[in-house]
Amino acid sequence: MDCVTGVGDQFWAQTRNGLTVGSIYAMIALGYTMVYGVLQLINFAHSEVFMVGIVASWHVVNRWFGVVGPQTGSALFLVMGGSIGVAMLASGLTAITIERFAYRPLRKRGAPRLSFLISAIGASLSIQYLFALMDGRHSLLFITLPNLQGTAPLPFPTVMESQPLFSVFGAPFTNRQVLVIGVAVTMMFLLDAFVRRTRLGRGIRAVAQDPETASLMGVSIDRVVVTTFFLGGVMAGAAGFLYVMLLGAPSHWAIGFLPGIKAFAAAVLGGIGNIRGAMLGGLVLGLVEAHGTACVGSQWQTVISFMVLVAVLMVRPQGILGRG
Amino acid sequence: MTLREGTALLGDWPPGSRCDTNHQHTSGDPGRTKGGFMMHRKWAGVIAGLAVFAMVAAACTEDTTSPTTTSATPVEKIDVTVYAQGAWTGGVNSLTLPSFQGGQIRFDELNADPTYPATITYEPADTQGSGTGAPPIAQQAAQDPRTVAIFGPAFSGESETTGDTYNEAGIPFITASATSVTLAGFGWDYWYRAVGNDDAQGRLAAQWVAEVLQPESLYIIHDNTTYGKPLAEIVEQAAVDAGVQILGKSGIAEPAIDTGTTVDFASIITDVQASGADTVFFGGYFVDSGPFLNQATAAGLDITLISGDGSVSSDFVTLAGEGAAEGTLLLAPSNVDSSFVEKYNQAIGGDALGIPVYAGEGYDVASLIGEGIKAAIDGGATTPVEIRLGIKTYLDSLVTGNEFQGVTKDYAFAQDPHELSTAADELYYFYRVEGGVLVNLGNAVEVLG
Repeated sequence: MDCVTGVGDQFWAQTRNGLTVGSIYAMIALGYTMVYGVLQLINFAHSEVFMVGIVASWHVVNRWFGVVGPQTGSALFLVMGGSIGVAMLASGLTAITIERFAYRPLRKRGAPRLSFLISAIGASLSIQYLFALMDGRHSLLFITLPNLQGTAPLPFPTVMESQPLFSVFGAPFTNRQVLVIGVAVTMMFLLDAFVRRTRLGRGIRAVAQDPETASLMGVSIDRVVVTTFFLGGVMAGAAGFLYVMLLGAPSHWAIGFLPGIKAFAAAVLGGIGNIRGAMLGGLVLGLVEAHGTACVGSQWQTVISFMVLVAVLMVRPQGILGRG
Repeated sequence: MTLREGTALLGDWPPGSRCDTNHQHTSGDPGRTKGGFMMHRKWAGVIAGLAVFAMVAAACTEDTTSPTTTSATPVEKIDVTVYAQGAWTGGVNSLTLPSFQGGQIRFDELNADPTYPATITYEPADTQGSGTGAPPIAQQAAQDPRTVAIFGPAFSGESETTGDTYNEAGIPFITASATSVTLAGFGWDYWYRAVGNDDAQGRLAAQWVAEVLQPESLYIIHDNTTYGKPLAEIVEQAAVDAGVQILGKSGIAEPAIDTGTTVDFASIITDVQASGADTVFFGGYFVDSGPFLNQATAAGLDITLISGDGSVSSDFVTLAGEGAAEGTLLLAPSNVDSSFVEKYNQAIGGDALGIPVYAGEGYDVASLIGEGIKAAIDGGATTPVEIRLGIKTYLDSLVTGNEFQGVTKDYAFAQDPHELSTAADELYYFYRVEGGVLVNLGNAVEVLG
């Protein structure tokens, strides 16, 4: 009864919450699903690609722009544009680097799938602990590591003052929530269009379907793989910026782990390898989390999410939209 | 008996006043409490003791106006190691660094004293506050053959995961800041808590809410940790008993202190909004309570936040935002404006934190360990294993009527579990955030009457 009352009373507000965080899950999930689609590989280091986006956003806003309070007008546009742009680039380059050093050597040697998995986990941990050392106090092989995070938890400053814009059935949407959903939907639309309408996108789809035939038809596998990693990284970088702007989160080397796991679950939920499935899976996971909180309490949030994941996969093992 | 044991005949000196006859504390004689321990050296020890007494008495006669002088006859020192377990680095170190720094000040004083019978190496056991990451670090500290005591563990969660290690190794571990009531239930014979626990903290928080703040309703949030959840439950029960209406309760699935990930509080904030509560008690650490307040304010939630010692940190206001943090009410079994703070700021200098929570308690814990080491060596202990036992014997001797007088309070321990038997309501302090700084409202007796 409490569950029904809770969900009923807070339905629209929790739907808003679910869509907001689900948009971020969806953007991260795209990286998992695209790489899987092309290489049949779960890139477990993708959560660190997301983390790099957060660190880059934090660094740009705090250190480059020195933002300490809310911005307006062109300054707001410049700070947000600069931050998300650098975050996307940093994450994209990180993803390419991971592919170059953790996966390509194995791919060239025809290594078994298990080797890719171990390499992915190794890359993930290496990046995490490398960033853990970047607090201005450590050196690595006689090189002083840059101070990217600082020793104290400095939060992401309030770049944009939170203000309610409009209400849907009594649930107010703030400008930050609208920005998150808006940017996420726009970027997902653009990615979907890129993959479906461009020559390179066609290459990605061709390699995902049959890499050998695609290769014989003149598609450069390496180029497609690098593009796929880069695009997934760009989406994760944008998600990183939106995540810290929404939550005011301090930069932390382990910050990517949980959202990464949830985004991976979202990719599986929607149908791993399926781009639209990842988008849908992220939104569904966000909604389940939010309404689950209203139903049985927030401490069970993750449990409920993964129970729903298991239940869906039992009925439909290929995910909601099926594998790509 | 060795030359070191001889100094026990002089009784113990208070910190920094070697020749002061007005002792802050007279320790028990561990040699006596352990029966025949080192009895065969008795006569040699008495003679050596009298010799040392004569030499030190002469030194005192010559220089009674400068108790901190270091001109006394040096003694042969035994090298021992004390590990301080907790967050030396990482996102939550602002909660524990002041106590470690307080401990450093005291150990430096002891090491500088030529008559002190040991050289204490103060080693960080840096867990970054993680309960799951702490066991291998504790294992390393316990396996160090020179370890004689543990300063900490600083957090309740890491205490829970590492207490068995120290207890089974027979190493006394004394915390200056872990307040969870659940820790007292593990049956650790070598565990000592030199600070008030959450039983009183929760009761006083609820009393504050019910009698002083008198909100229309209360909502309770906890971080699901060994510290935050029991504290929230104590507050909830005490608030209900006091007639406060509880409109809701939520726990966090993945608190930041365990995961490093900032929690998305949107669902909880919606629940608080729907409940209509105007006051929220947050049982947890500032890495979660700060972002909660930040996100709640951004979502337009107008509430008064109350939290415990886990939020009494220099970084709480930073994470919450100065505007959002304004008016937040906090309490802790620690006075961040104590007379020790001036000494702390002078000694630590630029590394001193703005809110030196548990700094004085840290100094006192180091004093307790230091006194225990001295008592052990005076009692004839020469090896780390013997010194561990001697420290425990010393701590067990601190009972009501035979307290150790620290800079923050008197210390006496109850038996099984070794909770502070001298803890009282006046040791809990209430604070309000005003203009980005913590304003001391007074202790519980002053605030609650």
